Amino acid sequence: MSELRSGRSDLPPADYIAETKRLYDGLGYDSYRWADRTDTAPAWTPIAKPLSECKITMIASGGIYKSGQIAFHTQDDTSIRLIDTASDTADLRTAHFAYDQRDARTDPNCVFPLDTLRAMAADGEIGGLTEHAATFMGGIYSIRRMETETVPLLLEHCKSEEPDLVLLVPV
Amino acid sequence: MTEPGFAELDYRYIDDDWKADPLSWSRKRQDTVGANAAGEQNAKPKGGDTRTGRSAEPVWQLDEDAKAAAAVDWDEQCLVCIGIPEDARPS
Repeated sequence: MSELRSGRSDLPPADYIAETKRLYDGLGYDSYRWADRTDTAPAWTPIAKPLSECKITMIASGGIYKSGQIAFHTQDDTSIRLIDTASDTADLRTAHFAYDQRDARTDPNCVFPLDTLRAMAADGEIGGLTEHAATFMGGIYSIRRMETETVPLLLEHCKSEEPDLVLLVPV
Repeated sequence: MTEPGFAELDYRYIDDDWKADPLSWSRKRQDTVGANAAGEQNAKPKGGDTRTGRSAEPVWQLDEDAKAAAAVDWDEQCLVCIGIPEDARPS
């Protein structure tokens, strides 16, 4: 964890929403639209116990797969991969079309902070990790397919592994 | 922590320092994301769009990944590769 604690200090925060709008406008697309679900309340749930006692599962959208698994395709692939959280990060790969994967392929923790979470568990900051984390290729252009195909699979993962918290890692 | 809110963790991330003095942050400050090792910003792809074409076939990071996946029995594979339609199984 020492690398994290002594991280570089010369990077400003990324104004992600403004940057995304600027990028899309610059490319000549219609203004980017995020899903806006005003019809349902956020499913936030109060945490019932200290973080140090919480079992966490990670859900990451960076297209991470493990060697031996089937890589994601990049044309609205709505499937998911379960990654054993005891995996060696050297065995992790990425398959995505919508972000520059060079850094992630050098260090998968960029998009799938498994080593970081394991270090936090070892330090007692979190209670531990579920047996698997779940990943998908987040470049799915159909909100409907995301809701009806991918999300139920992710929910099933959560129900099956019974985490106290879910860490969402978007790319 | 048992209530919704913010928790201060004893971890520092690369972009945390500005928080100690929020007014110090400036949009004009050089953005080093995407710069190469020499700090040259032209390492960024032109136009800022790094997307590649989309493919209906699995996009393997390494050629040997395809062989490794093919060597795994489908019954075992579908336990961790979930939601792949039967007709879309890679050959």
